[in-house]
Amino acid sequence: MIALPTIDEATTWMLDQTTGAMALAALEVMALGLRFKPGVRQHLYGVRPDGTEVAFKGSYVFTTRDSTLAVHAVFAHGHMRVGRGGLERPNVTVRLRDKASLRKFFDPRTDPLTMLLDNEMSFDGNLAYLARFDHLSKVLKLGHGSGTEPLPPDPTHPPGRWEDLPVPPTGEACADPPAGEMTHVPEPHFAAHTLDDWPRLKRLLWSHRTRTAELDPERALSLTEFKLTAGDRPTARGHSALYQAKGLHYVLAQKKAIIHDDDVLAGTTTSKRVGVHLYPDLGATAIWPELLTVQARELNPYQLSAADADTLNRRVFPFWMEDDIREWTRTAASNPLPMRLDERFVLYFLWKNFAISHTMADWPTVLARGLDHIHAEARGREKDAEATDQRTFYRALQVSIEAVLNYARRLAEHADHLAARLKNDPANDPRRLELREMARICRKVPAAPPETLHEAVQAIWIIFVCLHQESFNAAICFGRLDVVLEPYWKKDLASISDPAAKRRAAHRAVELCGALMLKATDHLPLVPDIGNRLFGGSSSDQVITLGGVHADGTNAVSDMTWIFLKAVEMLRLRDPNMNARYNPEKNSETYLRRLCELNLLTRATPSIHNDDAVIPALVEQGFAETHARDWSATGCVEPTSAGRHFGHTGCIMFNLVAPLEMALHDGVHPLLDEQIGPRTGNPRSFTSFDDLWEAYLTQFRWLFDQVVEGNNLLGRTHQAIHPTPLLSAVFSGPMEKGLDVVDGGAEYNTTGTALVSLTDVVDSLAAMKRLVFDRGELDMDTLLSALEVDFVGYDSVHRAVTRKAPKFGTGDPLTNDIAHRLMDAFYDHLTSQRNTRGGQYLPGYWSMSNHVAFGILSGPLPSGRRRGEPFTPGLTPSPTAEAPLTTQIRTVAELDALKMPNNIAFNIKLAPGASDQYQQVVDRMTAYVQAYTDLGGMQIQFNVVSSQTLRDAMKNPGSYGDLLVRISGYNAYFVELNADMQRELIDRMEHSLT
Amino acid sequence: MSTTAARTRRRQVLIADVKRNSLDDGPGIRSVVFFKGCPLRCSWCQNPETLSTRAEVQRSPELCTRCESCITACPTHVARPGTDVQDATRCQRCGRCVDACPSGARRLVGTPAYVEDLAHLLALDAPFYRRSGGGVTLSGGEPTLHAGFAGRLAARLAEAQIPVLLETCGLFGWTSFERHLLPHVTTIYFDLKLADDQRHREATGHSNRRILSNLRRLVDTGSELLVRVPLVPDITDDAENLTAIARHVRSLGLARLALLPYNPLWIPKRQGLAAGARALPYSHDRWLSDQDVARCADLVRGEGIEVSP
Repeated sequence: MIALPTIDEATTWMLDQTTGAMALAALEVMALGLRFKPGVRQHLYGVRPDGTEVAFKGSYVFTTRDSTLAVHAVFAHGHMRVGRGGLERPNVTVRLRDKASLRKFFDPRTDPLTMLLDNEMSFDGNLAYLARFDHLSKVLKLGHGSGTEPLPPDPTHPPGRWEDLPVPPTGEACADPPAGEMTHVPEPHFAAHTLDDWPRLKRLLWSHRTRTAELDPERALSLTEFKLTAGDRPTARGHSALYQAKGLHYVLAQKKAIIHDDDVLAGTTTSKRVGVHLYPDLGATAIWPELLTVQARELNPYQLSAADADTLNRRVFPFWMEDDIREWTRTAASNPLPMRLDERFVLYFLWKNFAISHTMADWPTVLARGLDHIHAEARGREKDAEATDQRTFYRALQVSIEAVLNYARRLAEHADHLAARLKNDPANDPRRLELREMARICRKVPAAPPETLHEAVQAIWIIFVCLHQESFNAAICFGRLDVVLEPYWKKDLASISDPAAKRRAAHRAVELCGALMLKATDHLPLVPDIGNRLFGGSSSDQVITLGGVHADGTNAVSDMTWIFLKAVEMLRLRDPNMNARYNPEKNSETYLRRLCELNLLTRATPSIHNDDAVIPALVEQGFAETHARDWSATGCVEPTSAGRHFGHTGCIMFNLVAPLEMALHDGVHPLLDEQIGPRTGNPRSFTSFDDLWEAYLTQFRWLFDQVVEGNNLLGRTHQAIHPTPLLSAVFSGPMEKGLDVVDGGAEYNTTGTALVSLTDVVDSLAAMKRLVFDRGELDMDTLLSALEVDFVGYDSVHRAVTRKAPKFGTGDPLTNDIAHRLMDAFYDHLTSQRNTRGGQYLPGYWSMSNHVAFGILSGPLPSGRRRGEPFTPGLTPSPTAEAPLTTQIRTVAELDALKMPNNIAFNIKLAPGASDQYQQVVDRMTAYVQAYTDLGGMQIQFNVVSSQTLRDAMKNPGSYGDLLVRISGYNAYFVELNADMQRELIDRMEHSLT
Repeated sequence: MSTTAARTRRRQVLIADVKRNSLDDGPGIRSVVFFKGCPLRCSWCQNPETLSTRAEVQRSPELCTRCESCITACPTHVARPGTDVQDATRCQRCGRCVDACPSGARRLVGTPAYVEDLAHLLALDAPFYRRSGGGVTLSGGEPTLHAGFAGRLAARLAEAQIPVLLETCGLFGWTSFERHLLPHVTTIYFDLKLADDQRHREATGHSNRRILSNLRRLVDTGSELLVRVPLVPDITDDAENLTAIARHVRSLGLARLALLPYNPLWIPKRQGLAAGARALPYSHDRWLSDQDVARCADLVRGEGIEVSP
């Protein structure tokens, strides 16, 4: 008998036969569209500053992974050609899982992002080419020039007038003012005053809450013009820095000088009211496919005018396709494995583009000397230097300083211009005086040393703006602003004895610091939609760190600390990301209580660090004691010795679960379905837990070695094409060494990592040890079979692993032991590796939002976590660990701080009841933090909000626009998060306080 | 190990539970030790799993999947899904059915504990007690049933500067209590339910005479003491009882007492327990209203006694 095929089988067979023709037809339709549709052909040309057009050249292959079917497309001379089969050395090869995926890819209804995340498609080659192809196909699909409709009103923004902005509750007056921590402020909590007492801040806050971000091509266009006219880019040491300095000079010379109404500080990071910075040298082409749609995307839409979109599409992006950090590296190293693995999303992220910014300037030195003085020193050293590369480097420092001073001068002129424009009406006098004062200050600083608080803040802001023209706007930090500014405040107050005048000065200081914090909300980092899907909600994370001790070990809490804390209380901003140091020996309990009170009032900030854990961890890494004491957080939580430590702390997001999935599949990652890691054996043949342990660590070490190789390749590219001479000029080390910070010029040169989701690995290993190897209640084969099908039909296995296996955070000795041993192993492996600046790799255990991103992409785990569920944030017990808060706190506190020098994020969600006594809640929070630090805990952060409130906010985002939450190291507005992240926050274990 | 230490080590009592991070049962952050066994049989007992001095298997019927693992595991063949093993006289209370249950539908209430181990576990949270003004609460059941053990435990904790609070129903032998336990506790919460002896007998199965005399003796010792009155609807919350208790407290020279509003959450708890606990007759399943509590407080205040928050 002959078995006839079913209808389905027959259909599949026919589709297989015709897939090639369908794909080719789709490409041909595109080619015809590009040729004949009006207004479309221009998208195939870049436009140089002189107006000449440059035709797009690029080649693409679309193939099934088994290479049984391939089609290609070639762009040249303003045409698109298509054909069957592959090509030699295409710019991009798009690989589809099978023929069905290939058909799906060419279906106009398909979202390629989803295919990418589901591993139905992957790519090899230049991402910018893929982005341009995607853009071209959108042009044809949507029509040229579409997508510029005005945005629909954002339901999360409050309507009406600034006066109607709700005034947040104020803390209670300080019951026990700490004598050693205040000198001039009348009352450290300013409890008698609310936001209504600072109408300017209220207006600026209203502006922050009501404005949508807009993509800003200003810097990108200037830099492109520079690049296309400056001639060949030199890559030799010193010369590449000078090239960068000249580029910065050009960008800052073109940069519009802006002072908004209500501004007390001159200058803006972008040309828009809230601008999204675009760094085409650092990967901005990723937004290319969204130029027509970004205004209408669901999460975090950006405004973009048709003119700006055209600028980016034709005058900027076409000239950076080969020339950003990633592509440069890929070309130099022939598309190395570490970068190909990075593009699979589930293993790790190499965030070198952002890491280059993760630090803070040496503000005390820069302010004390003034840029003129530093410029003079660079000039002197240039004369004395013998090597050409050093002379050129010192030249680069001078040019970048001149760029800043030139911008400052233009700000002064603009302030005068605005003042002159105000009519001779007495009503305008106050503002006119302000503008004249602004002009005076910008003529003085940052060239000369500031002498007042206002001058110091303006000097910082100008340099801060300029640093943002040099490097990606991710975690360029303010640092220890209370310590930096206190001397200027004291000087201001030295001549004032009248109490009323002192009160007025304190009032002005709060306004100034609040204005600086609000200034920092004038820009956002670029988040392409895939970022929204995986991460989202993060802003720049421009950390301000308060409290702790000075370099000499004396108490650093001062008037300026209380002043900033008051601004935090009123503004409740997600960024600057506020981090507070608590030094148990030196800082008062009053100060700690204030930090806890602010977490209650703002719901989620500041995060709190224990000096007694952080300082020894830095000393262990070779930091001088004085330098370790002078630490400030960067990005999320990462300790950085202020102004002398180039720590690249956000450089690597590493999924600790990936090596586990690989160990359970003999080196194959199940999502990728490829043998990527070493063969560590079929786990069914493991006879002891040691076998599993070794397999895990073998996979971990292999995968981390890929990370090191990839990161170091990228680091070498920084050295070749992205030195940062301005940062080097305001940093401690480069001047003496004659080296840019990217070349190791800083005093300390580590690389910080985030090892994501330790908890999920610990719980999984513990479940297997106890149930499979120790007790034999479950056999490995059954467990692995259950994992293959996400526990469906294996309810008893799922119950066993969730109910009978120990969980990290419950105090079980097994999970504690596994956690400690894993951290030891990770530490040993990381700290023995070296980066391109000569420093070691440092482990950290915070996750930003990557616990959700990696979780979405990862399979089911022996811990009982199902496919696609988020991992556990930071270094926190899982929500399934049914343990009281004290036990959880103890478990985390007992981890060895020396083994986590890039810090952790320990998340606690508290939900006070409506009838709880305010003081009692603050008392209890304070007691938890004190006990945590007594036990040696490193970092702790709160969300003080009930799951019920969060659920309500998910349903009614309009009423919760300002609901602040802490993810795993950074703050976000809850309503801007993707649904997965919102659910992860809701699912976090909630602890009551009474 | 010395012979004394060895002897000490051998002495165990059953502990029903240790609740960490408790924010009730005294000031600050506390750990509460629930001893097993109580001399009273209050009809509304909110911790019925602590009544018996013996271990018992508590079931959560809603988690049972009727997989019958318990049947296979039971050495005396009495365990069944949906039945309470300890109703059968052959049940050894060995807990094998608990270990075998894949769903966690069974819990063995009553873990043998040694003083040293328990003191060690409790001292782990010492920084939380110290920073919050909290400590350890001995509760139950009735800790004074095990005065020797509880006293040694309290002494150990006191050595570690951990304040110990005792919650008692007041029914205990004074001599043993005074010798073993009293010297080591910082604070005593003394429950007084009913002033009238006949009503006390009906509701708790015991006369209140010894309870009242213990209270008087305790007052005489000058211990830090708080009398607490559980407000049980239709049993203790009437004007006659509350007024009488307040007068009695006043006659002892005390200035205040605390009221404990009834909490109905215990009702489902007794379903999975042995016959003795299941047989508790009281079944009031509502919370007291704020007005009810305020009315009770007013009655107490009317007698010149403050009501603690």
